[in-house]
Amino acid sequence: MATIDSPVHNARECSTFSIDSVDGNICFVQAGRRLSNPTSFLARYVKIGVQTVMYTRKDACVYANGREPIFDDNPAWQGLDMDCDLCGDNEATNHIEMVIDGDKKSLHLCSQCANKKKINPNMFEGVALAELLHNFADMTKEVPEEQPETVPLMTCPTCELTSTEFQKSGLLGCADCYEIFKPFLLEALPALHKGVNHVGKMIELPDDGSLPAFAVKAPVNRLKDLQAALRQAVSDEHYEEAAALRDEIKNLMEGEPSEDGVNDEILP
Amino acid sequence: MKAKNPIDQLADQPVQWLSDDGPDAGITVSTRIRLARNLAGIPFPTKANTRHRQAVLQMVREAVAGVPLMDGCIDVKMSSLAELDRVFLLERHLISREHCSTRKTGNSVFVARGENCSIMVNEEDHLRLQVMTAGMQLEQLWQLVDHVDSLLTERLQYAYSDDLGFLTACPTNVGTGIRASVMLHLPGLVFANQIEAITQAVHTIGFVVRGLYGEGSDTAGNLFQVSNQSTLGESETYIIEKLEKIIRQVVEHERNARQVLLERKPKYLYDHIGRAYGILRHAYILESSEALRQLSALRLGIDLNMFSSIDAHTINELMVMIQPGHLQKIHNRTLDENERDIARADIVRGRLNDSKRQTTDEQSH
Ligand SMILES: [Zn+2]
Ligand SMILES: [Zn+2]
Repeated sequence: MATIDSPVHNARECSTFSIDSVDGNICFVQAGRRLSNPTSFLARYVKIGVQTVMYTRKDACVYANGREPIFDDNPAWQGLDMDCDLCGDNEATNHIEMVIDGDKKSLHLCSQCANKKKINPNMFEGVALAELLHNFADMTKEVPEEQPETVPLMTCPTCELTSTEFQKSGLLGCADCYEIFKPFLLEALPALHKGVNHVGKMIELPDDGSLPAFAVKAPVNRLKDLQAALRQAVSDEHYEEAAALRDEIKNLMEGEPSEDGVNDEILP
Repeated sequence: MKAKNPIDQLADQPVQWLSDDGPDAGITVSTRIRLARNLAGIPFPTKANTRHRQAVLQMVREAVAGVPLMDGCIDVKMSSLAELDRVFLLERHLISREHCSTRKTGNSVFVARGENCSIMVNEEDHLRLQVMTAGMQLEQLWQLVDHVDSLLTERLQYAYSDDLGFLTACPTNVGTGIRASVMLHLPGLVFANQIEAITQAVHTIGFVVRGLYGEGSDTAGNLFQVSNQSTLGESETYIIEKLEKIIRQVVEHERNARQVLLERKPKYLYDHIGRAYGILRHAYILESSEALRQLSALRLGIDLNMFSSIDAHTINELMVMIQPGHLQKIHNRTLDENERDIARADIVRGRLNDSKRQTTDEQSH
């Protein structure tokens, strides 16, 4: 079996994997190992066992360890007769390998089960991959359950997305999630993108922060609206108004009970 | 009176975004740009309830009415489409794989008559706005999609922040929400075994190369897509300029690889192409991967001026037409695998013989 010579000790330090497609077989390969087909995937948060692993791009992967890629097409899987790990009936033709807490794990799936799990070269589109990795962690779990959560449980008051859901799907539930899950994002965005601030097409937000009638309201919106109003007031040199707004923001941030602090859907 | 199936209108017309004359059409097949957008104040599709989704669709529909490019566009709900029609749209690159497999309330798509623009509603984001064209025309395409997007903002309030730009369901798209991609035909680099090296090089600058088709067939047609990954911290025009530079370099490498093959192994190359032509002209059963492989070889032959009677568009279009959804749409019924292989060979033979006949006619005048 081909060996992976640098186990994942730390999600930050070596948090990247690549995905390969050789003759229809997909394998995740740890940083520094070569893949012979032009496929890579985007970063997602995925929780595996007790470890939150962040997947990122292949280039980051290759250079994360400052090592040259090792050329290895994993001959261990060539011509192997293996039963599918999921159904146990069919011959496994899809082989997945990854490192969890320093241990190498393998998953072997028949094409049917692989299809069900959406394992294909398009899986870098994300959701399916995150889901797969999540299930994969369950299947190969060896770590005792009592390990503490690495990330505190958070819930978005607007859309009720939990941090667990976010880690599983890699998807946020609403615009306010960007505030709520900021701690996650501050870590993730630099690895995903060339920068952390928007550069490019801009649109003007309405001054009154008006939203569609059936919109979901939340305290976060209130804060944002006030901040937008404040910016506007300052730029219009309406300093009295600005001072009032500043006080209101201060109150809100200090935990003054807000009148619309409930997650109320205003639907007809 | 029974309304005509809107998808039939598309099936009756050639694949527009492959038929137009694009610059550099030999190696660069087509260009696509998509923007991810969400509406302010409404949960993203993953967290939206039925009424949210319906409301999003209604608002987008009203906004689309203000876009001249979308005049008389096809407006269909995914739930109203038969499986065959959804696969057809997928193969035509008008909807995504995810959108193809969902039939939730509010999942919808708007397709411009000319197929150069489509808007998916309630996919991963509320809107996925996409424009396509033949050849490499990144700059023009960006102007087009930017224009359409701006028209939509006149009637839609997007989820947007000054710091993070356009807010998307997945943080991988936040900021510009742009994905620009160019489809390339790279048989020379595949022959020369240089695809991997190119892929690595492209990755190091934050762009990605991937195969076009699904599992197994992904490299059969030697078609690859190069696209950006980062959407935050760089402007759309910067991303597009960078992508254009990368494409020019890849195209240059492809040209060199072809030149080297021509110089070192001309007979090998001609034989490979000639055999492909023979098979495509005369086969009665064609599996998908073989068809793609041989069409790719033939396309290379056309680029090398070996065939005066066939143009690259014919091959481009065949590559789309020979997919299962298209074949079944043409026959207007479900076909099993064997029937598809026969239908595939029929259509390829028919097209190539047509081209042949036309030239003979021209010569006899
Ligand atoms: Zn199985
Ligand atoms: Zn939320």
